[in-house]
Amino acid sequence: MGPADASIVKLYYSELLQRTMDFGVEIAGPPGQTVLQKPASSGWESGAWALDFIGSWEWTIPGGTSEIQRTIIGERGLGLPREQRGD
Amino acid sequence: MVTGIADVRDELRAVARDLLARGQAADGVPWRQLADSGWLGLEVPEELDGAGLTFAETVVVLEELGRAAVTTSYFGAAVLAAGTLAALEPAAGRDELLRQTASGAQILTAAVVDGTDDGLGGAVPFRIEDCPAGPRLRGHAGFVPDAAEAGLLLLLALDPAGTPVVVPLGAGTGGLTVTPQPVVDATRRFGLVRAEAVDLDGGGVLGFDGDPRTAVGRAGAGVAASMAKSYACAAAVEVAGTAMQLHGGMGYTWESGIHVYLKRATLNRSLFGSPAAHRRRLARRYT
Repeated sequence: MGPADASIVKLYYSELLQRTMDFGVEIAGPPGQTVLQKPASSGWESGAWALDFIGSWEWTIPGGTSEIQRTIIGERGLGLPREQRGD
Repeated sequence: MVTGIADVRDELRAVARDLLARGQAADGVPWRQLADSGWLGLEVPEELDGAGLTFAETVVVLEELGRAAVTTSYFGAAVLAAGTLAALEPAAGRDELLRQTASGAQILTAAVVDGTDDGLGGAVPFRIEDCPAGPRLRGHAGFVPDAAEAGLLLLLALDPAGTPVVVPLGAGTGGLTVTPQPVVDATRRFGLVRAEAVDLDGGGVLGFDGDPRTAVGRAGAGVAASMAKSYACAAAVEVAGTAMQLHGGMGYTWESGIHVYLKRATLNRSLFGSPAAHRRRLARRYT
């Protein structure tokens, strides 16, 4: 397994989830906005589109944001120069 | 000193921002205060107690209400109802409703499309039928802004001859039901308006001033509206979503308030026609 594989999977899953939920809430129209609670134990793709879309940031932010994952993929996976330190 | 229309807008924006910054957003702005500010009648002619300005000035208020994420019936009254009434044939009944809109004496809204679908099919949501007992109104419209808060609703209907007309109905009219439709964006209010054999014997039906499809705005306004609606509403979701991401763990919290804008942007994108529906309409120009 490559040094950045975990980051690649996390980045791909979370951003694909966000795009899919974005598309879902768009085609669901106003009725998609009226589901105010996700079904119990329904996970990240519950069909409550508006809530699923908002919830998708729970994947792109925690556990290392998408930006952090891209840095890891660049530095450890592709061997690009290390990001400049702020200090 | 206020000298031109640009100054009027700057002044309006400054006053609105100041008033809305006083922490009232969560509880809404008192209706009386909106009326006293003159915001409800910006587009209503001066002889009907309005300010005699244009939609561009209403936009200034809308932008500031959006910035503050205020819960208010302003949109239903000052935009939908005032805009609908302005497209109608001048008549005593219409003028009185415009006056009530401007003074805030009554909260109005207008049900002109059924928001349950794309809302671009052009289908008129209500119908007047000639019955042996007299004219009766039937139909329904979903996602009517501020419907449950309004004391008077303006319903777009086809009369028995198939001509579009507007039927003003008080909220308590027999046969008329308004069911609130709560949405994920808790700052907004919508209702499902249903008319079942509403007795129209009292009359009061209002006609349009010319062809209703061109009564509002200039030729080509529909094209500009579809371009703006599809582009701006998609952009707003992207901007609010990016803001959420850039603020990281803090952006996701309830307290940051970014979720409010993301929910509002997502809702706005689906109201009055999705970007896809508007682009479909634009694409028809090329076939």
